[in-house]
Amino acid sequence: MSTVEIVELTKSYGGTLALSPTSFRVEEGEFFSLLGPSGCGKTTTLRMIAGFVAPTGGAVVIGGEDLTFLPPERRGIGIVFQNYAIFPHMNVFDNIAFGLLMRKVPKPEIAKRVMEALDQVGLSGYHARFQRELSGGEQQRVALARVLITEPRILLLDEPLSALDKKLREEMKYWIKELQRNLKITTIYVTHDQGEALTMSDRIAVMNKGSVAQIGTPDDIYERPASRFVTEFIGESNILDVVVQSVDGGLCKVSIGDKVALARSRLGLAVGDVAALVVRPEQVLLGEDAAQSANPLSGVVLDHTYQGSFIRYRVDVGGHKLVAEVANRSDQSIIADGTKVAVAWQAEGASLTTN
Amino acid sequence: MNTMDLTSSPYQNSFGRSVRVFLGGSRVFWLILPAFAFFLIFFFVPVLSLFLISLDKPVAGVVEPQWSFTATNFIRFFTRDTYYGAALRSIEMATLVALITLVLGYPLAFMIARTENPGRNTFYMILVLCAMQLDMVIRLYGLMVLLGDNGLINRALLDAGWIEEPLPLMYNFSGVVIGLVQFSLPLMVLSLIGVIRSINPSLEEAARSLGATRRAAFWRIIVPLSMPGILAGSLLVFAISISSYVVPALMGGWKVIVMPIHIYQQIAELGKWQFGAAIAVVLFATSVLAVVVYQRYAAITAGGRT
Repeated sequence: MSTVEIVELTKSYGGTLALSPTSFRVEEGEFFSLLGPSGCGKTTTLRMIAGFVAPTGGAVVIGGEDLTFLPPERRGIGIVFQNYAIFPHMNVFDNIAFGLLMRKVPKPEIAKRVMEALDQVGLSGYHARFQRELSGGEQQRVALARVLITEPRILLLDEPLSALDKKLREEMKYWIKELQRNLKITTIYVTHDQGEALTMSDRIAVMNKGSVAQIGTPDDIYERPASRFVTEFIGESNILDVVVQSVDGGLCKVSIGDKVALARSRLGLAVGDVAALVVRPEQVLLGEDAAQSANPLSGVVLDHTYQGSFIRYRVDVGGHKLVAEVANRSDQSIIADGTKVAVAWQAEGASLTTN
Repeated sequence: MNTMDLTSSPYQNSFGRSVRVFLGGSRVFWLILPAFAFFLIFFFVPVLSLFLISLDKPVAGVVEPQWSFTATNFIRFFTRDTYYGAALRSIEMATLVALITLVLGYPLAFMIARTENPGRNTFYMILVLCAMQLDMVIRLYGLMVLLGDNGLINRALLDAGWIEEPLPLMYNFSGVVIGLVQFSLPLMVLSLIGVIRSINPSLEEAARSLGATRRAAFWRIIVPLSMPGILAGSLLVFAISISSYVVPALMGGWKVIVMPIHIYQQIAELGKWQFGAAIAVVLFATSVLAVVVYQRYAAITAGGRT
């Protein structure tokens, strides 16, 4: 259980920069995600923390100890790989015992602790099985048990859910989160799946093109994205180009073409600035709900799709195409395609970001 | 209903079906017919006839089967030390060659397998394959130029004054071994590369972060997982070495008497086809035995993966 400090960590291959100087700090017991598209540098960062890749510059400090140049076996870090990396020539028992064997723990104690670890991950009775006899979910549990038995200072998870099918992925998401919370182990989780990052993390670092775009709590990232990239990467958004008309405390008045709308303000915006207005589809109001708001825009429903718990509309608002997701309530009928509707959103539901 | 049910009919007997299943299933078995026919005519028939005449009484100059069914040739082989001694020498030599090629070949194969740059990788592969381009005999003459009493190595050492007498590098056991290692090394490397390359690098990384040093990860993860390649490669080299005639003949200068030399002498010089055939049968049986032993061992080291 340790803090992790990444100080100006840099990696370049030949002339190309895989990771620009990056710094962040992960608190003790925190679940911290590195989220980004492939090639954003998240895996490179993780591999430098684990010691598989030597950084070009900067430092990795864990629990106050600089281990930038220590080999992986002396870092006391546990890592679970995307493919789980279960040793195929050893059974489950030997796989889990491997770390203790390397630490020269006496045999009887190894046996006792392996059985406890199997219990902990809910795989009692699986000790004699081989990798090919395990499902993806079971392999993942073995990989976790194998790492946790060595009592690592921090846990690194490299896209551990991406090889599982959807249903199991949902299940394992909560299982891993719960295990992490019970053990209070500092965890760095690498993923390209925003859903995983949002549900599991205490904090998220969104990465793009070898640098960190934003660090924040899941609701920070989702509701107050710091840049257009973060906005577009996290969730679905309607993004409108606007000009700031007036800044009034927490709220801004912006113009969209010849219409005016309200949005949450942010620091550094001045009258006349060009900004991007971000509204999540679930924040968009249509029809009567919109008509009651201060100054609704008008639009035409292009089409709709029925999604069960909500209806998804595409609406043309003065040339901008907006997506609206309206809760499917029994007291509201579906708006037909081609209908003229009022469109609005709560000012708190819209944010401004720079391009 | 699966495809087996669709294609099999109640009129087929079970033997015909199992042969077809053995040959790859009823749909594609005709694809292997040409190769099967070729092997039948040019390998199976000659070997079978060799086995047959090995059971005939030895009559010089007679090739045709006499159907006399006697163990005379085999009794002669196993009671005279010049013959069973040759068998032991053959096994010793082939084992040694397999071992040396493994020790020399593994690091090379490992290096090539871990080279990620595609251009450099191809270059290394071409270098390995280069060693197999020339005909065996021509390569051995090249070795003679190097290893002979007046060869490059001895000449250089004599001129430098480091030795008084030329080192016996050729026309002895070590000369044959050097020749066979030279011949088999590329084959060993090729059988190892594929297996080493198929080992997922994350297995080694997982072992490292679990506390294994580079050395421990190599011996506990990489080597056990290379076992299929190690076994296949050394079996191949063993089989090639034990049955080689040209290398012991040229590099051993008729002084290193192994089984193929005896076979040649019996048949070509003495015309005793029956006894030569018997030695060939022993040679064949030795190879088959090696395969069986290796298979057993492979099953154990594979850790349940069969």
